[in-house]
Amino acid sequence: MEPIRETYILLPPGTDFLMYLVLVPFALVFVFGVVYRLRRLGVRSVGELLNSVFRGVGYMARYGLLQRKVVSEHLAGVMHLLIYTGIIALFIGTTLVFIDHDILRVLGLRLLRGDFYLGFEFVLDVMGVAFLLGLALLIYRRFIRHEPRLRNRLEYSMALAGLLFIGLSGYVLEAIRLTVEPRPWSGYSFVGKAVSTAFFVNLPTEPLTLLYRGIWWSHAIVAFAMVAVLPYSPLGHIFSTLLNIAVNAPRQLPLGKMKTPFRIDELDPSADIKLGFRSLSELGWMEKLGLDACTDCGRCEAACPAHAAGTPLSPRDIMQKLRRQLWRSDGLDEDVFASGLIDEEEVWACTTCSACIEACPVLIRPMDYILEMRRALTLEGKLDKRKTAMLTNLSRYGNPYGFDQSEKQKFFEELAEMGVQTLEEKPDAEYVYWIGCASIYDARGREIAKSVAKILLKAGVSFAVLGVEETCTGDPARRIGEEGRFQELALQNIETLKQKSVKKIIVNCPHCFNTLKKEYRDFGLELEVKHHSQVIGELLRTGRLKLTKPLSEKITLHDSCYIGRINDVFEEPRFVIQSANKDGAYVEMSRSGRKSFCCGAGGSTYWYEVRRTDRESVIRLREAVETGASILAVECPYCMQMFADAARVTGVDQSLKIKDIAEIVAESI
Amino acid sequence: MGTYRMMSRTMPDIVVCVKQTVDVYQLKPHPETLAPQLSQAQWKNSDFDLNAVEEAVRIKEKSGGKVVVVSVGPEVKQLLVRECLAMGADEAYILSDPSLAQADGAATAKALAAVIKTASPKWDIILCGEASLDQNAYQTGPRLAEIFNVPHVSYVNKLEVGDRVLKAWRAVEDGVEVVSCSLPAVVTVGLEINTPRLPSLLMIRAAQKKPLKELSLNDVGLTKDDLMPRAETLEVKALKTERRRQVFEGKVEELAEKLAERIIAHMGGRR
Ligand code: SF4
Ligand code: SF4
Repeated sequence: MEPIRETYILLPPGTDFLMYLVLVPFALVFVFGVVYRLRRLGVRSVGELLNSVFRGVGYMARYGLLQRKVVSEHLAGVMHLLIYTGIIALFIGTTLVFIDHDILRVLGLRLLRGDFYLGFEFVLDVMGVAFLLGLALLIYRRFIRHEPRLRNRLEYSMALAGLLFIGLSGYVLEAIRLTVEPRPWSGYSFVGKAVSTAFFVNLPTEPLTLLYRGIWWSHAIVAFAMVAVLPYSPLGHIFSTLLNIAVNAPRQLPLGKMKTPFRIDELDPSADIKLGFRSLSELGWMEKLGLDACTDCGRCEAACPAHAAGTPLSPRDIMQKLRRQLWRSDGLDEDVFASGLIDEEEVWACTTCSACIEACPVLIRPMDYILEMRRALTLEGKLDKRKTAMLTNLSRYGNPYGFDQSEKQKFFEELAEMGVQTLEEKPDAEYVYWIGCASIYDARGREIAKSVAKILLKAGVSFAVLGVEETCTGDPARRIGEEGRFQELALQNIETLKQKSVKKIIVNCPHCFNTLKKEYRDFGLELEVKHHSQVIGELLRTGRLKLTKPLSEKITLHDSCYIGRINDVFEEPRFVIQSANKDGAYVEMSRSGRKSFCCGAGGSTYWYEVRRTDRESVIRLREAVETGASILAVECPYCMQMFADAARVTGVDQSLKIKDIAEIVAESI
Repeated sequence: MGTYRMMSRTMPDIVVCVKQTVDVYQLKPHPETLAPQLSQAQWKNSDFDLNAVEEAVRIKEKSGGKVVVVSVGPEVKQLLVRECLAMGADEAYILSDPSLAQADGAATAKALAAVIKTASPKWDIILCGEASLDQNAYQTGPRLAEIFNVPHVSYVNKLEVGDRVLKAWRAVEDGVEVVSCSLPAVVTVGLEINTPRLPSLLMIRAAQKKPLKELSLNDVGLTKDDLMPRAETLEVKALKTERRRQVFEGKVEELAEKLAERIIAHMGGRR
């Protein structure tokens, strides 16, 4: 006798027909839900949707189907893979049964027969086990280990119960079938066989068959019901996240680049002005889809420095609040601030560190929503004193500190005494060393600039400075949401740089780095920008810079957001430190590289205060102290100031020195 | 403060007088003559006057009405006036005339009054900064009230506008005085009353759509003679300050003692 799939065995004839009848209402509910959800998001046509999805299939495969980022967290990753591959396998299995029974069989053909059928039974049993294991892990994470970032809601528990029921009842059905109608090949369904041996052998056939029918129908109905409510429930994230990845991933800007919504020099002054959003109706369907796709997993919140520092901000809460707003009847038109949904302080607390973007397993960018809301707030101009002062200083004095020209002049005179020339004195210089406000006006920052200058001079690099013509890049204005003032500064700088035919720039400030390199492109200036760690690294590798006094310290490095995570420079600073610290040791902090934790100064938050219970800088400094390092190396003048303050406040300024990598190198020359 | 209740049935028309001054914080005295180097200086709206604009806009946001900005001076800059429009004012009138270069409080008030009579004769409140950033004379507001023969409330740091009345909290030497008076009235405000909003650049550009009108002396019925200052400014000089450059040496406790002595001596020996 050839092994063959016997669908609807133990069931009265006509069950297949009845089942399709029962399926219809569930299917309708499902389709209605999908359409409703897409309509609500504002998808206008199926063509538009398919078009966007088509462009993003590659991303969908990598981050959706293969879950590239989900698995970066181990336990959660394994859990997702088990449940999700389990569901897919069982779904494919059921589809094959349908094809086999309802299409091929009618045509007089069969698919599920012979060896293929045996393999089919075996694989499905294995996948069923995987599926149940995944659910067990889920129960462990949510209900036993109580992972803090996971929230328990009734819907989640119900979904879990449904899945568990489907998984377990499937095996029970198989077991009863094998008990009542034993087959020589039942060993391939090894789980069903085992359950049968353990519970059902020797039981009378009659009641078992009745039991079978009961469970069969409940299995089917629970499965239908779960599919039907998918579009209305948290598990709907299976679709919205996949869709979000396909639609939004291809159009995402690189990290560190903000959307340029207009060009001030091309703007028609009579046009309506709009910037950012205050209500969800101002978002396009793709942005709304991003909100809808948020699974409330909390990874962004766990990575967020502003949240850790006890500010009102949690990127996950922002996303979830906006997401719920999406489904409230009058939610789309309500002003998110006026209605009290979002507290302005939440929006101001973001340091633009991009850790939430890095953390999100389904490629959502909470920070982008936060910054767009910020733009809307700044557009109106009702800012507090400190924010107002910073922006006024930028427009009036070309730097956020509010120092006048003479301060700048003084510092460039000091540099001139060291032998640093201006571009005017040295028009053929290969590089312009762009110093940045934090190293022009701040006393501690000036030390960094002098160390950089010392190194460049020593190595004979052909460079010059702009001198008093250097002004702020505009970064603080852009990140605080004042796009107009940013562009004013940017356009002015671009004109200066173009006029002087500047092509290559060295910076020691990550914010200048990012702005000059990534943001100015939108305004027609392509520059080769190098961070001083890259320049020094190159000088060391090529032997143009020789270090004769090796240090013997224990050094740890704080990766700045805008050089590290956002611009992918990780190796050079480490190489430079290790070259200078030949006789010492290098240690990593618990969070480093891409997972580094912001000092708390980025996104112009350096310039104002936010309600908080702790400081990012203090939290991070503690991590540095834990390594037992004697020097905390930084690569950003703002990180320097933040940690110097934190060290003073916490009283570790004697035991832990904070130095820029340029200072470390300058010492060992 | 009792049970005083404000009703806001009127939609007040508010005139705000805004003076443009040089940015005194940026002003550098000439190294020899000590005269301020005006040619290099940047111009801005006087700080107190921005508080006045902000207050006017807030009243408008609450009770409706209209906000009219008036600025007079030797060379009023349109861009700066537009900033006030971007803050939420509805229209602006400018009177630029070189004869206002030497204007004192009396002449300025006369010029402002003439513009107001021409441009916005039916006003309910005139708001001014209590003083200007550059001269600090505290004159213009009271003189305007005098000219229009209406009540005047000065040094206001909180303001409520009701039905044909206003209620004001005044910062006085030993506390706060709460007064009320009928409209129309002139009110001068201090820095504490609010934080002026900073119009975004986009808003300033959009304010180009709002009416801004340049008037001449002729338009407002004035002659140069009307604007002759009563007082004559002979010379403006910076105070020359110099650090004493004293260095103390010794142990911390001794140093503190020495420093304290110095300070006491400097304050005239009072402990
Ligand atoms: S960018 Fe950084 S600070 Fe802002 S929400 Fe994301 S993680 Fe938090
Ligand atoms: S935004 Fe992403 S990381 Fe944050 S809760 Fe939503 S799905 Fe999770």
